[in-house]
Amino acid sequence: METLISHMLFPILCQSDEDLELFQDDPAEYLHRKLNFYEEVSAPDIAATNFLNTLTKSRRKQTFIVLQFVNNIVNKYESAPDEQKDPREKEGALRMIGTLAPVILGKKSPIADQVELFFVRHVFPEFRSPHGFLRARACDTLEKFERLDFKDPQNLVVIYRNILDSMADPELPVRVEAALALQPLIRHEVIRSAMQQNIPVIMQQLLKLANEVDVDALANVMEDFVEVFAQELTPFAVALCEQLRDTYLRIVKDLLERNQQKDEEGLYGDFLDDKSITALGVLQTIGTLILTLESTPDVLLHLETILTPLITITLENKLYDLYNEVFEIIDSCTFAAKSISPTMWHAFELIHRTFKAGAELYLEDMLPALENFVNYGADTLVQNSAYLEAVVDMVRVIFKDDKVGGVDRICGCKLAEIVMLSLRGHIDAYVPELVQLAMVHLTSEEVKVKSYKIYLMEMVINAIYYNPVLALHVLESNNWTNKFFSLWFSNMDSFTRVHDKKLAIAAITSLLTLRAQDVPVSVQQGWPRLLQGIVRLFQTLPAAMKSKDYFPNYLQS
Amino acid sequence: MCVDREEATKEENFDLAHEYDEDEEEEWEGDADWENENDEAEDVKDESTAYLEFLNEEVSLNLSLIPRRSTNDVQAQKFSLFQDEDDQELEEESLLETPIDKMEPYGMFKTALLRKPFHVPFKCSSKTDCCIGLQQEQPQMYENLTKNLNPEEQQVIQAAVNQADAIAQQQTAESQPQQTNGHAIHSPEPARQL
Repeated sequence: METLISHMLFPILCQSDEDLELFQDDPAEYLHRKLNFYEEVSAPDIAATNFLNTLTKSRRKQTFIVLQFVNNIVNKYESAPDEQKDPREKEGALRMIGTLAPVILGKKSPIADQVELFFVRHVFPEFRSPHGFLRARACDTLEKFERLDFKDPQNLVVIYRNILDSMADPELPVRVEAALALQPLIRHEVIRSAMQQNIPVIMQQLLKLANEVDVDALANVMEDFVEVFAQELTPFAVALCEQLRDTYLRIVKDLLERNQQKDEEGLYGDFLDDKSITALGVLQTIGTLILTLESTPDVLLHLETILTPLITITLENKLYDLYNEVFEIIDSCTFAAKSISPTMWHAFELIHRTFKAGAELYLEDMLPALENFVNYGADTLVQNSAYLEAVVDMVRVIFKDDKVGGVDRICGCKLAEIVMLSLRGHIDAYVPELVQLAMVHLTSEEVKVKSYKIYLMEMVINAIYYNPVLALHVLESNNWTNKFFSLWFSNMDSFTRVHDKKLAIAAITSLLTLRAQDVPVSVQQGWPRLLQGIVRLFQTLPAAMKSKDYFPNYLQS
Repeated sequence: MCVDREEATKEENFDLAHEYDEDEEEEWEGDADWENENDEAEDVKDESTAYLEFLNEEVSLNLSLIPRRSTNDVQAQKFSLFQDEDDQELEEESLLETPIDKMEPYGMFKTALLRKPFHVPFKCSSKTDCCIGLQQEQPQMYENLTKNLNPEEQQVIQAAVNQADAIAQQQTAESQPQQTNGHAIHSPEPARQL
């Protein structure tokens, strides 16, 4: 094994001349090569690290042989006079021990408590190494041992200082590795509280890095920091959001340009690559930032305007992989504002256009935003018949489209529900169609999962609550009344959620107030069952409200 | 450099194998207990084979899916989950605030039944005069509806009416607006307080 390590694995793990050339001349490519290792399983150095991993996990004893080897190298480096030090060997040794981090810090590892010492002696000095690739490796080693609990808080102070310096290093790979190493360090109280002072500057550095190189992990770092340091960042939220948007727009433009080239070359490229993943990460960071700002709707209102180009470019260019995050951003903005600004109505038009242009299957992702548009924009919908028509049209399309499945149809039911609940008295013209859509599917032969059936029934129940006379009229004229009531009342116990029960109580209540002549003959005989049904609902409502899954959206009194 | 660095350099040698005491061997647990290991330890299961097996399982799983959103694996997974757990009950969900949240079902029911409109929780959209208390306006229908109820069911109805009164009283008592607009999951901070 010693021979294998020293003559085969170790030389492979050390930097080659090409590596060092790349480090100098094309640092972005160097980073890509070093960080996206999962794409390069066949590369010799990756194979070597995989081998070391498997070896030490399966044969713990071998860990000591590897560590012995590492120790010899680092001790030799330490004691050699400067001009005889071999930085490549040292870098390779650090890479080797970094590979073993999970094993060394594993449960009940007898050597875990010696790692701190190793860092002090052999890693800390390399933060100041004259060799850029060794400085980068020092940061990386720190990141690999992210689970290490430093006993001496002073060491964390040293680390923090060095990482901050490294984030301003002249070499790009060092700056990136430092940023990646900083992320897990925030679990240490010492570092987290120190960062509270520096976080605006750190975010600037991260943004700058994100524009220099497409490393998707950087977006994760930003997202994490935005969440953890929400309070400190709020004053900078607008500027931060602008910069994130610009980064996003730059990446997307690169993407579009490249896709166009591919099209011209006749290549079909619809896969998630580095750039899309980075763009996704930036969007998620913006989404997280918005979530931290929910208590300041005025700031969010400003952000809506800032983000409009981002929403537009994504939807207009059909960047499907990024839809979900864009819809989430729209959801967060409208939810926090509790009203719909003209900017967001413009976004609504875009959503509808997107939906009509082949994005029917994304209704599920759109739904929370759409529900906000209906819920908080009811007044506008009542005034603007084109908007209302657009909402109902989405329900219509989702029920008519043969390629959609039950999940999407459920989304259609939910959208229909919020329309009927929020626009009481204003959509009489649409209710018959909604009842028909629901009943046609409810009574069809197609196999349906239970939840889909319940949502279909609730669409009709909503119509009854909306206007019992109108709903019964539609049911009656299609000979559906008896069929529907039988279905509903025989499934009463399937309406398990508080929402279901309250809705059913509301609908039954509205039926109870009907005059005798408005009750269709076909159900007159069974009419007393209404009270029995409501009894069942009142019996089970308290338990549903106590359920651990039920979070009331309001706290009455 | 800090003091620890100097102390550290004083250490004789960072030699793990040397420091490691045979008696402590049991300490290091894990999926591979190295204590029981000897030089001819049995073959370790090849991870690449395991990965292939995993892939095969995935494939057979995916074959059963209705193809949708091919670019979005998460959605596909969700869908398969949905199918598998067909008969699971609906989950309380929805961060959405709907008018249903604010609805007070007991009062609503009582109003419809007995017409003591202390509180009209919903705006009736119907053009017909539907908000008429059943007992007073249509005693015959009321009789017809209630006569089939067994004593237990009658008790539930009565309890619901009582509950409506209790809630109404409580609301009058606490009429000072202390409304909070809770939204438990969405925001980590108590940000939604008005």
